[in-house]
Amino acid sequence: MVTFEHVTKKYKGGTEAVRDLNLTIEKGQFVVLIGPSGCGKTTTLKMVNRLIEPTSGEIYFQGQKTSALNLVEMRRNIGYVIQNIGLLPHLTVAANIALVPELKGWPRKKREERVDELLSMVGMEPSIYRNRYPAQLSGGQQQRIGVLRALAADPELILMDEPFGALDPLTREQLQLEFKRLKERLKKTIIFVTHDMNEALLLGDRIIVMKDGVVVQDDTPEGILRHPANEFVASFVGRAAKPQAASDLLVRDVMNPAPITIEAKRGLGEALKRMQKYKVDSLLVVSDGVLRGLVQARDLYPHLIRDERLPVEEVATPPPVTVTADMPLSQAAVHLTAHGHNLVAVVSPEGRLEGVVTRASLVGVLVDSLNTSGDGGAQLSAGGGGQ
Amino acid sequence: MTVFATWLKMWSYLTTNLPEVVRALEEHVLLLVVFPVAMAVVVAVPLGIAATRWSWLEKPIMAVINIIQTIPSLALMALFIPLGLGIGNKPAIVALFLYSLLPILRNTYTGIKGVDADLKEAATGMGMTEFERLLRVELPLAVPVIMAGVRTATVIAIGTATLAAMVGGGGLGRYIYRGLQLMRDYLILVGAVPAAALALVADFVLGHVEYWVTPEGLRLSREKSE
Repeated sequence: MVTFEHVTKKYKGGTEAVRDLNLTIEKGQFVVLIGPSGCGKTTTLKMVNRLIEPTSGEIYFQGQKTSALNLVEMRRNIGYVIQNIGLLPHLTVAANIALVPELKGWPRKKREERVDELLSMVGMEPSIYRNRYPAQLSGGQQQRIGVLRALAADPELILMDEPFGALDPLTREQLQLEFKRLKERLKKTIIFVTHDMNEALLLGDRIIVMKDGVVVQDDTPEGILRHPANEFVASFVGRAAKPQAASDLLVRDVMNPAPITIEAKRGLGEALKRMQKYKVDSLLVVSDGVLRGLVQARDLYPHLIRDERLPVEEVATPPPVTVTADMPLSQAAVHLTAHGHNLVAVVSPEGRLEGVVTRASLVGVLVDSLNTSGDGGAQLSAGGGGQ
Repeated sequence: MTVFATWLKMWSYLTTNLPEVVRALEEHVLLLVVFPVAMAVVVAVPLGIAATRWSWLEKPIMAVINIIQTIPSLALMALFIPLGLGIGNKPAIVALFLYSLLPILRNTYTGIKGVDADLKEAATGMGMTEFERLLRVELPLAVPVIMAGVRTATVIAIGTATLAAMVGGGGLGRYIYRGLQLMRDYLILVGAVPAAALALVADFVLGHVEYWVTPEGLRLSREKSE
């Protein structure tokens, strides 16, 4: 899809941003370029769509030299997402998304359908958001539109320059997870620049670590984690994986964001199956994402014999102790240790279930904090554990 | 008491000679303000855009315009009399046109240059041609700033146009000039009061126009950041 052949970029004043880069990116790959600022990752990205012209060497896009292609034509076939979102403030959400299709001359009807399809894909109701302006959206919503804009004309290749860098940590995490699901569905070739190793590990099929204009390591996420090529990569990975001191941790840092749940209207039989499948002895009962209560295996059995279709909400006990994600972990820990609860549900102020903290989570934190002095290779996995 | 009498006299002059004063006002507005400012828009906006595209143009253009602006307005008008324009409205119109260039040109230039670099890069990166980017991104975002330049130019022109009478032209300045010559205070007021009112009204109206021409989405993003 994209090939770099001996590509070098020298800026005025002699700094070499990229030195003799050779790289081949296969169709369908999600490639992450990562490194500290000034390592040449953004320069590399922008040389693909020629926002930056290489000083020497040749870049190929779909087998053709990019220097020989019509620049405007080529850029319209490459999606581009920038860090600071770059939505045009004077255009509506729909007009922003449909920008490249419009430049390409798609008929209005086809553009409108495409906009609605894309908005629905990220869970933004088209009838509500279509005619809004960027200023009327939250930062997270704006960057969703930024991503959709790059997808609109269905390009084969998408370039993303720290797309989630400007967002607050919580929104960033949410968008990363959303985008991970999205990219698995889309199967596009994506080149993604970041300086956040956690993000790289979460999204990338292939991670290219750069430093001072050269590639230090080009490997799978596992390869980077297990066999860092040198001290530099190791420290980069280590910094990403190192847990914070236990006293600063918030509930959010250790909670399992995907607890095993069951819809309130489902039958007891299904509840039992889920408990068996996920090897847990309790399920959180939710309806429309809002926490309704807890059902434990021992509550299940007496009723199960009589009617296995009885809705779980009939036998559920009121919600267990709840905390919010931004409380200090110590508060949740008190419930688990002193008050003897098995789990503490994490809910948003509106009552939506966001996660769960279990005793196993606490043990995970403890183990990690004991290991911090060792090699940084261990992945932060404090959130695990059975309910 | 005499001040009050002067105002009364002005009032009676105005009411008895209303058609004539209205004609002077029309001449002032249309011939000495709207026409030269409109011509200045036609010339300065493209010039300002050109200066943003070819940076070597910026210095010479700004230098010439600044020199024009430095010449006292009455002197500028007078300079054109021997240059084949004679006395009357012509030298005044040319001077007012030249005078209006600076605020419009400067605002066009800074308005377009001031468009967020990230937006420009996003537009280019998505495959807009230079011209598409200008038309769809830079100009719409610069329109409020350009309009502010037009507003400044208009208000300045309304004031400067009162000098047209000195070079044999018309407009409200004629009453001021005649009043000065005849030492009739009320005649001075017949020219000065409508001219001052005109400037205030124009400033107010163009302030609203500035708001209307600002794209809605841009207005919202400004309100948000305030």
